[in-house]
Amino acid sequence: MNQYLTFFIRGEEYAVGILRVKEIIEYDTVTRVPATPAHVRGVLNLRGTVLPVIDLAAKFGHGDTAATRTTCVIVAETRNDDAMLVVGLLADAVSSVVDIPEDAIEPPPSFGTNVRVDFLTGMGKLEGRLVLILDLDRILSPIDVGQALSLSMSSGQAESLSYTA
Amino acid sequence: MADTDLNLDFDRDDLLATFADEATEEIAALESGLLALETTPLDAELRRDLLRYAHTLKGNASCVGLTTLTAFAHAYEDMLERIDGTDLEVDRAMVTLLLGGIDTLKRQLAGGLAPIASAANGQAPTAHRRSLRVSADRLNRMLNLSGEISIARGRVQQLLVLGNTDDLIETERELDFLHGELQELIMRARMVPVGPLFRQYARTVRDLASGHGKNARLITIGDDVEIDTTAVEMLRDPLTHMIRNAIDHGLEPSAERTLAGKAPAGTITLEARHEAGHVIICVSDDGAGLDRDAIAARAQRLGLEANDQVIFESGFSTTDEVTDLSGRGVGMDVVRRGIESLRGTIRIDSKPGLGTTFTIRLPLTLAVIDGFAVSAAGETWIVPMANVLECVELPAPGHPERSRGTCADGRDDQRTTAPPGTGVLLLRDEIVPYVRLRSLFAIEGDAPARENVLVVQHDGMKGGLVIDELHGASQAVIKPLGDYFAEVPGIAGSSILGSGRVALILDVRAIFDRAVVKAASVEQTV
Repeated sequence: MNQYLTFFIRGEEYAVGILRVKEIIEYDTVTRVPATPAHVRGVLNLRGTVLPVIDLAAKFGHGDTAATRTTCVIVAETRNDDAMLVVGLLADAVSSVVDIPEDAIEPPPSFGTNVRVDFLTGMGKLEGRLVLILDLDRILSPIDVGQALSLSMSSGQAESLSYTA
Repeated sequence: MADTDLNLDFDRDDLLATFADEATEEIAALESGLLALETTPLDAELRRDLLRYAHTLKGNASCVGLTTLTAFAHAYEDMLERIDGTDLEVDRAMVTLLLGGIDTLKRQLAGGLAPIASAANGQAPTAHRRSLRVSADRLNRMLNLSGEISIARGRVQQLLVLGNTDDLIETERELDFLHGELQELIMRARMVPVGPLFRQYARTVRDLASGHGKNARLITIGDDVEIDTTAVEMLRDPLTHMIRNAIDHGLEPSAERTLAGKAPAGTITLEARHEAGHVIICVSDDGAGLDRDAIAARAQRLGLEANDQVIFESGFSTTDEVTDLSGRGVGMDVVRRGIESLRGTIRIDSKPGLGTTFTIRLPLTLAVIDGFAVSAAGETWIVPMANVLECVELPAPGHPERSRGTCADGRDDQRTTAPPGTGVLLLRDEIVPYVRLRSLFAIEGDAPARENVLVVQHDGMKGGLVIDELHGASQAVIKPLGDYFAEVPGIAGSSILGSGRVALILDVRAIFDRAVVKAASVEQTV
């Protein structure tokens, strides 16, 4: 299956495998969760389920996303060991569902991308433009949350806990 | 004529099913009553209760025409009556005898129902019919809500025709709210107290222990803790396994116990409690503890890490050799799998000579708590009602009842060594330390001029949580924050508000811990 959902974050076009995407919802106010890393935007109520919302821009070190009219949440599945986690990804705008054939995907170059290379499965060439294909399992492993927590707990200082608005 | 017959059969099936449920409950009540009588033989009220159960059972059995059961229940009632009348001392032997009668009642109930049911249906009766009792009051509220939903739906239809968007949006929102409320009510109706489940094991403990020439009793704690009805069913087998293990291998024979300076009768404790968004169920015994040497030896042979938790590994427990050596682990991987299927975890703690405790943590997916809603920093937070003592307004800085701490604007008072956002209140002559929620969670933004204090307690410790506004008590369906978050310190879970937004539930114990740790770290740096 070579279908991908593409979306924009800070003007850059990213893609995730369509099979990982469950739905796309409008961005509404989220409830902030204290003592979580800056890229954890908070949680929202998805028909009775509590869904964590991740700000990919913040995760990539591009600063927090400001909500606009086109801001939306991509509800996606990510694999963690055997368990599947469902998370919401904040995107500035969703673009389209595209076919990227296998031979149009190349491994990411070792430098030059504005996202950590290990967050990418490859770079897709799509009608003359570049699309960064994300490795959701890597990006969204809950481990980094755990690490962030243990750090903040051991220092015992509230100041070291980030709290994104 | 044929139609009437069919109708009667149908009614009779219903009647029999109801009877089966009730009779099972009555027999269970008789059983646990007898076990209680063994410990308090002179309890007159208990004796009367027993008589009443037997009498009801007899009456019901005769209603559905089970003659054998009726006769036996009648004889049983007579026997209980004689005990009651003569102040005959109820000893262990007598309870054993009476319990034997219970077994006969159970057999007769099963035997009596089977031919009737199969004659009526032309098929074997289903072994277990799951049913749940819901109070009529609760059902009425569900009915009212569904009525209101119907009305709102009608209105939506009307507005759709009229094309009035504003009203439509408002009505839809109302509809959504009503639906959420109905859903919550239904979920809450599924919750049942663990007490009846726990009490079933009183008999298991007694019989298994005497079968092994030991003496044991069951203590249950937290009988009124509510868990989802599905969880009750799924916990039954794991609990049996663990209790059987505790008696088989954990508890020592009476003579050995006396030598070790313990009470001759062993104690098995079943405890349920809520903790940090989970239901905790503990099965503990005061026996000899795990045979660590044998476990270590076996773990080494299997190439596994030698710790107590290793007994949950599959393969570890299924070998006879290990069972004989370590005395633990029969079906422990089965237990673990059962708990994991409920998305729970299990761990074992053992102290040599003092006993073993199994701790099961189950997520509270559907659990409901009484909560107190407050707001701070633009968010709504829910504090479990069990922790809430009272609410007061935070006295202005400089007020004689407020010491040190921070200024009203949230900035630190430069003269104090207290960590940011903390201070001490004098509440009716009692000293109460407080912590500001926004400081605790490092939330940016200024506190309002007037703040309130929610006085909370945990485990005898009393403290104040400074928040912006108080909203009041309400019931909240606890939802876990999800696997993504692992554990967030100070947060026990979340709940969905009437507005559809998510509110976080505070974990008072963790908040106290945090505040204490922070205070300690400040002292070190001064």
